[in-house]
Amino acid sequence: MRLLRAELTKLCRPLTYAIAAAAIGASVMFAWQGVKNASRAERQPAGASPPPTCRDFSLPAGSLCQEAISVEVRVRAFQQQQAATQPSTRHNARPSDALPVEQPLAAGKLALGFMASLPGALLIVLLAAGHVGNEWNGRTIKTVLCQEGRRWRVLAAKVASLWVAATAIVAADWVVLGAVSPILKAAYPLGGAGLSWSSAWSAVAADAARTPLIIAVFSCFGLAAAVIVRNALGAFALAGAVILTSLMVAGNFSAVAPWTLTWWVAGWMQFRPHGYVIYHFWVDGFPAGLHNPGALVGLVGLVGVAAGAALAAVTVFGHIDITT
Amino acid sequence: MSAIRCRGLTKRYGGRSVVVALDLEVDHGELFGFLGPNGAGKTTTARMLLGLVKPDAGEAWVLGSRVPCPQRLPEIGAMVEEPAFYPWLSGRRNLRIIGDEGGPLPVGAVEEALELAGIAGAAGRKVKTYSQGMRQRLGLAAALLRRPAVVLLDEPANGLDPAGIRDLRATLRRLADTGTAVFLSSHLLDEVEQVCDRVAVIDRGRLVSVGTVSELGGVGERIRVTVQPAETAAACTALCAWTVTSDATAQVLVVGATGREVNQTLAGAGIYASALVAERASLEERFLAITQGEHHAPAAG
Repeated sequence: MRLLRAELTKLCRPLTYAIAAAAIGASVMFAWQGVKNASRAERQPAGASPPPTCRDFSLPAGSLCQEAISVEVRVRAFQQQQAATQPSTRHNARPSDALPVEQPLAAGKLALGFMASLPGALLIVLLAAGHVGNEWNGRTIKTVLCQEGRRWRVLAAKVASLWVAATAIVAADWVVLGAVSPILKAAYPLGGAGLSWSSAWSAVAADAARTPLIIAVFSCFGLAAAVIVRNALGAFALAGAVILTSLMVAGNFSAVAPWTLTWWVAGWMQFRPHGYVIYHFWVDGFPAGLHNPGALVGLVGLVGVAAGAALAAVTVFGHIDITT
Repeated sequence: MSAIRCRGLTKRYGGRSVVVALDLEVDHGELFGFLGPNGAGKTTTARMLLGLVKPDAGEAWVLGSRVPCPQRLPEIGAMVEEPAFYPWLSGRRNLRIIGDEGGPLPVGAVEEALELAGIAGAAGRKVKTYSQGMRQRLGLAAALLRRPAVVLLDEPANGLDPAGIRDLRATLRRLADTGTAVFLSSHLLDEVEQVCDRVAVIDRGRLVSVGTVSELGGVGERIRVTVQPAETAAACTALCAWTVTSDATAQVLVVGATGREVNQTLAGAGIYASALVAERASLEERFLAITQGEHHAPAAG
């Protein structure tokens, strides 16, 4: 606990505050934009839009215009049919998908999804790079190891402090979104009475239970990168590159997608295609022939990633000479 | 039991030997100087004693425990090269972090260490506003935080003002007098000569000399005799039992004899010196004689 307290004290720094501000600011912006779009869509659903005219296409009346109107009518009919038969997607989302953002408890879904996906991954590895990698940049690693020689304990305290800090950022984000939700509801009402507290809890409980593991995995990942590279900037570059590569590979190569961090995160968090509100920044789907992974597969994969990263960090840190 | 002991301690970086078969012993209550030019291997030796760097061969013991000895670290106060702290935190908070990392601190230890190092007045300021000398003082406070049994300081006087250096000497002497083993690594001869009980000289990773300051400096002890110019040749003849040199100023230098022996011999020969001064070669002269025996390129230190 003493080591953890020391690490948490070190995290009381401008970098941490900036990361928290960035996470909260971005979440609020996405909430606002999502609710605004949903509200607009609700007021003017696709089926109720006025019939197209030649003026809409900037065409003179005639056969060409009639052909364009005919195509537009067929497209709208197809979109309505898609919306009725498929879950919400980016193109045919339902405004009701945005309801959680207008309920203080359920608004946390956005904060949790934000931190459990790409922005959270990058922010956590940035925090890890600054917190761990900077021990070499600032030459303070020798000060630490002159006090506590059991290097694995130093790493354990580091990763625990990263997890605590990232979780605190999610909590702060949740609180801010909860405070903003009544304002969004007043500005962009989505109709109906909104979500009840029990419905709100149902909407957010699973994400709240699953996100801490993702934060732990990202923390281990950032820690390993920082120990291997032993430089703040290099650690961020390495970890960020691996995460982005994983996303690109998983989205394009079906043979290797099931062996990527992207696959396991998507499986554990049960991310689904989003609608008007972007509840996560992860892949919407995998290459043809691959179904979304289950939570158990995700859990096993993530535990493996965390264990591998921790093992790499302990092995490297246990054997290096501190010459800074 | 020695406070610090090394046997055959060796470290190589990429095939280049930085420390070679180093044998050392430092006792409790001893202020031990570890002297060498830049790149001689002083810092690497200190790092090996602290477990920061793994030796390629040999062993070291601190307080009877073989290095690395994490369980002994709370009893070792250390400052290796330029002390490093978290610049966005105050000096006091940095010390509290160090306290948390190393185990429970005695009550009031932080304030006591700040006072001892003469940095208490600036302890509430962020470290990024400190001068180099203030950082050095904070480093000393960190090293003394736990009232350690062994203190290992690497170039502690860097950046200190004259008053700071004087305080440092007094503090080190006081620590040694209360039974603390002080290992003072430095390239500053004056610093070592004035405070240390024993000195080891290291050059290109090899231990070249160990002894008390007077032993090391005293190898060149000499008596400067002033006689009448006409008696110079006779004085040299009378003193031929020792190494004698003379110059045109009617002064004779006698190496290896005491003042009493020289006086007696000259009187026996009927020569009466107008001046007879015992001179001791400084540690600096001895150090330069040892380390400049041949041209060498600096190595990592």
